[in-house]
Amino acid sequence: MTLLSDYQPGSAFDEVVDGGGKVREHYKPLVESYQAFSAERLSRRQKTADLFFLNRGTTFTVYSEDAGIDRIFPFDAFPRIISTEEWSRIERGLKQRLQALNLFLHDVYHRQRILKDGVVPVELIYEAKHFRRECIGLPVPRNIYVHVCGTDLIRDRDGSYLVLEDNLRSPSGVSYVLENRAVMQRVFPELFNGYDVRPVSDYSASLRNVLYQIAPAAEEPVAVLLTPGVYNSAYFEHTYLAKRMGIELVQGSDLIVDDDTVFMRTTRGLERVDVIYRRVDDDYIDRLIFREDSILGVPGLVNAYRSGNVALANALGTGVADDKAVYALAPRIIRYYLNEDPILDNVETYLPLDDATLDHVLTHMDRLVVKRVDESGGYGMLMGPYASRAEIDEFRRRVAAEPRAYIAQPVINLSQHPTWIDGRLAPRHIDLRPYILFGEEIQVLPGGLTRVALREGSLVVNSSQGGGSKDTWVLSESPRNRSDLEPGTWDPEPEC
Amino acid sequence: MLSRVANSLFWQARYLERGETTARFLAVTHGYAQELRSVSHAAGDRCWGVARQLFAGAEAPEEDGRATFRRLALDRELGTSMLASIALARENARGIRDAIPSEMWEELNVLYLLLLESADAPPSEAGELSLLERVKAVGQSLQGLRDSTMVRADEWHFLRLGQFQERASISLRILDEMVSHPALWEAAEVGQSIDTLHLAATLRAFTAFEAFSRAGHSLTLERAAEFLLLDGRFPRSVEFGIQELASSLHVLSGTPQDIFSNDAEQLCGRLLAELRFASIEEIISQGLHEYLLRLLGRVEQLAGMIGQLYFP
Repeated sequence: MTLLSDYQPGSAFDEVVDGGGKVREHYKPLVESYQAFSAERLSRRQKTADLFFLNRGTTFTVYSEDAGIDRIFPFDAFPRIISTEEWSRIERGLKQRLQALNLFLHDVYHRQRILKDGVVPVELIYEAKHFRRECIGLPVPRNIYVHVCGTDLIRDRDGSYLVLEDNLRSPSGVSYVLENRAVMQRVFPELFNGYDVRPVSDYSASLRNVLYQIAPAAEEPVAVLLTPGVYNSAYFEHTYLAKRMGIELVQGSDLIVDDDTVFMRTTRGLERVDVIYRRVDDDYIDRLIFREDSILGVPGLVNAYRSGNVALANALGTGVADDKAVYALAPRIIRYYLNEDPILDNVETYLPLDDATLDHVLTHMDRLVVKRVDESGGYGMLMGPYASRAEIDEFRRRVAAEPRAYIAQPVINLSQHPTWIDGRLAPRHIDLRPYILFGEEIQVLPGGLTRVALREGSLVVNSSQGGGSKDTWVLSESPRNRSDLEPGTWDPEPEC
Repeated sequence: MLSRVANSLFWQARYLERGETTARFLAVTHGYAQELRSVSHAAGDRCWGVARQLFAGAEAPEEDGRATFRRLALDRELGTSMLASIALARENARGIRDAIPSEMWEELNVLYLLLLESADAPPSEAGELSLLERVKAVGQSLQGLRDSTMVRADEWHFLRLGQFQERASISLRILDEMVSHPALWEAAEVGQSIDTLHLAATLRAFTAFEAFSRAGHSLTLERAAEFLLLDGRFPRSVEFGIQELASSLHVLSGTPQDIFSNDAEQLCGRLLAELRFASIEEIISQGLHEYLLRLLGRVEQLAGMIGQLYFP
């Protein structure tokens, strides 16, 4: 085999090559198809793919760069493939977890049984930055808080999938899942030979259904997508989803609240809005209630929401379950509400609430990953083994001063995947963010966003910090092998 | 529709029309200035002076024709260059990507990226000329996309309003510059008449030369001005533009065309009636320049009224 003959898998779990250096079964047809690609052909195709993203404006803006400069999210043309069996476990695990976290949110904002039973410490909730007192006792449609969830999964050394983060507020990235697939099908059609890949393109229709399922009673409910605006790094995604769902994309200034009802300003006057898929964080959504300096939101929105005149997806206050300290307790939460063992495990996590754990974290900081509980996107974290003395001392000081605000985890060697680097395949670390919708039922989009850390050895996959992405294929149970074709089914002539 | 979206649609179309008109005017100027150099170098230079006057304002610095060409086409700093107009059209489209066909955004984006790349590349006269063709072609293709893929709903009408508003206003300005063109007296200085060349160039700036010729007109100032101002069948004439504005305004408000329900419709109807019942001889005898300026003032007033009405 020439394609992977120079390929040197590292010590992490390799998605394509097994411990004995053999290509895993479900990757064989892909590796074979790729053998037929010359280096020039590959680089030409890769350029076509990049141009496709650039021309379509499938771009993101990094905050630290000049405003108005768009960059494409680097795309790797070697897809990641997940077998039917693996996926079925992931899917069950994600549904179980979301079910439990949603029950947890409802409980925290209503009877607070889990706090009274001492399973989750009260102060952990009341001190959480994203806990919203305004939501206590507030009913939400169908008791659903998290309508859209994007859980980050990684694989440890033996290949088990672990949950790294839950992302219950306003997860982004799903547009890249859909666009990566579209580009793959258009630019690399041959690679699909030999596979039955489950489609992802119906995501927007499913999301739309969820939005209308939570609408307050109205003749013809109107749903909108609320974006922070054209300078938001995920703006492309907002336009993409609004367009595919056929709903209006609005900014805060397009909306106005009158008599606890939300309206949008149109060319024919004010039009009532019933459901808001908001991509604006709680903090910014209503300056009368939350941050006063926010111009992104809509003054009065929270009162309209409290009056039941408008539904929000996701609900207000979901961030409390996104808190990394609460994350650490997710296995307990699942057992408490569902009386089941978690199907997907957490990454081992230290919660430095007691002296012994705090002491352990402080003394082993050079071997741990330390994260602020209320940050995400790779910000506010320390990678112990790669940090300087001074950085470690700084974090030691911070954690000692405010233990509640941090968690620590051992460094997990994310699994790795062959990735095209300068025309050759080299191992790079990846993670997986599947997207889950919760309406009448919980649906998991088959696939998700596989992010790649493009720098050699790097474990940071965030798009804001040098990450790229891959198309992610979930295989269906091979319908092609079925022998039960109905009589009368069209059977193509062999020579066609 | 959201007022903000209507505003962006209107300006996307205006800037695109302006960019396309700039491209057409630069291409015509490039050829015309070259022709005139055989009559007098000064006359050729005057052509670029007029282009500067139109697209860079009265304070534009003196420079040679080549520099003007490059600057009006691709200067990032100049807010009225062709590149700037396309960039603004794209910026407006970017804010309303969900409201317009994907292909429309994509074409604009690709064109913008190409112009940006060319602005950073070393100057090449041939390269810039082919960019002008490209901008014109994309303008046509976007118009085709609009008319063949968009539902005749408010979105479509706001794009039309922007396009014809800009067309009426920039046509009047170009026409005004062309009828009192300084090359005409430069040529007279050296004892030559360039009237035929000049009228042909004027018509070409509106892509009107072939249509005008086919209509069987003789090449005189009266007939050319009449065609560009008052021929309601020619899509780039001022009257045609006002006609289209009136029809979209009335569809938007749901009011029949023989009455009005707002001041934009009232002014538009008046303008249309005046143009329909005007005669070119009368206009010229009263002073073409004054007439064009007065008309331009009212057309701009109309733009303000549309804005007040739909996106205050």
